[in-house]
Amino acid sequence: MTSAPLRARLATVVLLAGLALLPPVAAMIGDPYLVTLANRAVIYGLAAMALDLIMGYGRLVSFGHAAFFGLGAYTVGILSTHVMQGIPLAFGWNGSNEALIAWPLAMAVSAAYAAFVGVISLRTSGVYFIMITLAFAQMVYYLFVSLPAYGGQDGLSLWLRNTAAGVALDDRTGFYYLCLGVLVAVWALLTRMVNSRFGRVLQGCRENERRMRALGFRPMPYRLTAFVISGALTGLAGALVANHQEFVSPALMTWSQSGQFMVIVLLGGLASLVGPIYGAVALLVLEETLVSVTQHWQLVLGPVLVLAVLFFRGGLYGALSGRGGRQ
Amino acid sequence: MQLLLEQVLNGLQFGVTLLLMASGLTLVFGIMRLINLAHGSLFMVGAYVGATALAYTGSFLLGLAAGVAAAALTGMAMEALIIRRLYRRDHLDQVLATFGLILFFNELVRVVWGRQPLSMDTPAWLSGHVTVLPGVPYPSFRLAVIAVGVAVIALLYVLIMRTRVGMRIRAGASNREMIAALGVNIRLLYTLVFGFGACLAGLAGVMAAPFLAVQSGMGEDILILTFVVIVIGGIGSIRGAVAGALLVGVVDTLGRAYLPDLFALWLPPASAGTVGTALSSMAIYVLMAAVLAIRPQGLFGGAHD
Amino acid sequence: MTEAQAAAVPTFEARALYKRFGGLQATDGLSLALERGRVHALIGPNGAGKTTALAQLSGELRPDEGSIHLDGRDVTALDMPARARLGIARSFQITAVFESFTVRENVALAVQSRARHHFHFFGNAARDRRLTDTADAALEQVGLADAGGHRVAALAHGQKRQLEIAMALATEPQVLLLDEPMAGMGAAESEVVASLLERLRARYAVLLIEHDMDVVFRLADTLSVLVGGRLIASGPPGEVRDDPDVQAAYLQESF
Repeated sequence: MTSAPLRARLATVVLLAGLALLPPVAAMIGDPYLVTLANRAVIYGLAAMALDLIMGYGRLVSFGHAAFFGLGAYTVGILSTHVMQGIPLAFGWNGSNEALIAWPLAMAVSAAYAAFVGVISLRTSGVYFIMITLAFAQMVYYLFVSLPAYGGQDGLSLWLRNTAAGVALDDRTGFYYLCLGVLVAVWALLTRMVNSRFGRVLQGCRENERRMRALGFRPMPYRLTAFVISGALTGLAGALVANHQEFVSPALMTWSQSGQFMVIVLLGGLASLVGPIYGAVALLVLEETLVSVTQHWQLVLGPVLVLAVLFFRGGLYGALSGRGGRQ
Repeated sequence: MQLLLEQVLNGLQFGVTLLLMASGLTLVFGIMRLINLAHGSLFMVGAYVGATALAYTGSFLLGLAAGVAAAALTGMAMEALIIRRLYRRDHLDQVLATFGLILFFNELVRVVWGRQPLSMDTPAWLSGHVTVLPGVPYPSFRLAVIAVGVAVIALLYVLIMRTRVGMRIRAGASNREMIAALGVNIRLLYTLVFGFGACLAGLAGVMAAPFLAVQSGMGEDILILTFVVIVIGGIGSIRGAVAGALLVGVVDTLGRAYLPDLFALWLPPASAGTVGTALSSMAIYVLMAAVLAIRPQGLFGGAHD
Repeated sequence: MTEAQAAAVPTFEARALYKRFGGLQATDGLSLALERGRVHALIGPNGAGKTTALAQLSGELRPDEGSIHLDGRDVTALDMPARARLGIARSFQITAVFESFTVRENVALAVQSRARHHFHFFGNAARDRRLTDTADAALEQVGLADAGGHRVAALAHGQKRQLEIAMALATEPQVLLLDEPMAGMGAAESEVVASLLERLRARYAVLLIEHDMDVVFRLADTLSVLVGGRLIASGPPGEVRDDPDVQAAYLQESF
């Protein structure tokens, strides 16, 4: 819990400056697709950062965060579909295309499901927790696969991106900066949170649950709160990805999507919050590089992940801050 | 009534496949404290190699032998190269490393066998029907799968509980250092245990292949259901695995067969189909949630790890 | 003991506790009373059930029979966190501090357990004077005033034991349940903790489980001997030492 060394801070400044300067650079070299790619990394970094809150600071290994991601995305997709088709969603309400309504709702839906999953799964620990979170994500996946009203297996196209306070989010660069702003804001918020009284308790429960009980703390409410916050923020990332892709489908909720968030946290550095931003960028660069070499890029990515687990435990941010192993 | 019996048997057959998977996972977890996501990949390797060997030789038994052997060898190689470095790591590392292995194997089968799914035929000598009750014919092959599964699980139980090897395995689980001091080669023992779990996964893969599309990613669908079985039954308990597997197999099969019809009783046909299908694919997860709400440690589980 | 003291309700009292694990009667009718300002030492051979007894007193285990009272209030049904909040603090036989925290952060967490407000999400706990000042005071008490900023991993074994005690004190308890606070310490470190307990004793009701007989006879006002889950003797240390049953069952090895 000591602050990071200068080298790591500098690297973070460079990374964020790089992300901020990417659109003009991409325009200069005539490759606007770079912005679309980077936008993906920003959104996935946000989801992984939310996961790091519970995985890094609470040692709660959730293998089901794709459910919260997908629920957030579908909330935006469904609200938008009802507006476009003019079919009432509930209580005569036709849904909404306004981000100020849809995004908080996406967070609320994801938070509600996180509360349900959390109440059941947090009574267990270890591999149980991993398997239960995975199974509950799979349940939501199958639910949406078997809902033909919202596209079933094929998913749902957004006719339009959301508007934010009436302003359309169609501009590629504008939307990118909005996502980057959200990411930085969430980073600032979570950094404060892990250093607060609440964060201390969460980390104490990670270190030694029995000791915490002897001091008068019951871990469950703290863990559940962190789990719900994490789910809500992952839902926000889902709302962003729906707008980014202008399309939502059950693919957002697959187990491999959950795995990908975990990989991003690992590559970036567990229990660092900023690490997932590194991890998301690194994974994207790695994937794009491999894809350009071979169509069977996962044949390489898989072993790279294995090696990273075995020999690169602190992740990128851990290496930068001289923290080879894990806390 | 006739249909119900048939569906229950289908459920049992599915349950047996899950049980073979769950026993391997539970064995490896119970002894080495390792959670192996790539267990589903071994199932897939068994199915692919089995289907291919059958296509070349025309013999189902050769296909079965090849599938099981391939899964076992793949498993032992996996253990020797990577898995054994993970025994002393936390579960997060185990999950991430074996997640990497899944990506590798799923792509590998695409490279070797292409993107088109394979299909596997049931052997001619098991393609008939057996009359299980007067007026209820049931496919011989499905019945054979149930029989083989039951036999293998019985054998496993005897092996673990009644033999010297089983005793070593159980001792290895409780005290590595002591058993190592007695001159048992723990490394080799672990490789063999892992290989044995892989055998069971391969067997499950070959026996399930005629009912499934043999394709990349097929292992993960079954893996997740296996997790549900283990969670419901209670981890590390063979009795729990049996109860969980049969429960999940039967509930899933019956749910898919009857829930849409059930909802048609009070919902208009169109939405009954939708709701019924949605709920039937969610049925086992709802079952899992219900079991956990009452018994967080599963039906037969003890303390958590 | 004066009559007034004898008549007072003890601060913390266990009445006829029984606890069975399968065929083993781990606690067999154990009764104990702790009073503020006094140290009650509990000794017994290994496997006598001392740690099981402490687990029941702290709320980690529920006794099969019997009851536990704090200031006359029945707390038998309360779990460990609930009892901790009422002022029953314990230390652990095996050092249980938060390794990735600094020394001050460890104690601050204990202070926080008393202060509540855990659902503060944004204030920086490291700059929260209400936490750090109290934590520093507890560290001062145990003689770790200079180590506040150190990482726990950098502490010597004896210092970690001192930190354990500081954390227990920081919860502002009435009752201190200490499970072998000198375990694994050298003579010099032991002396630091013993004199610390001597200074602290006036303010707490202390139960001391300890193997070091010199420490026990130096600190204890009451000495109880536990064998096979049962108290075979309890009273002033001098009398207990001379009790023939105790000599036979246990102390002959130690003296």
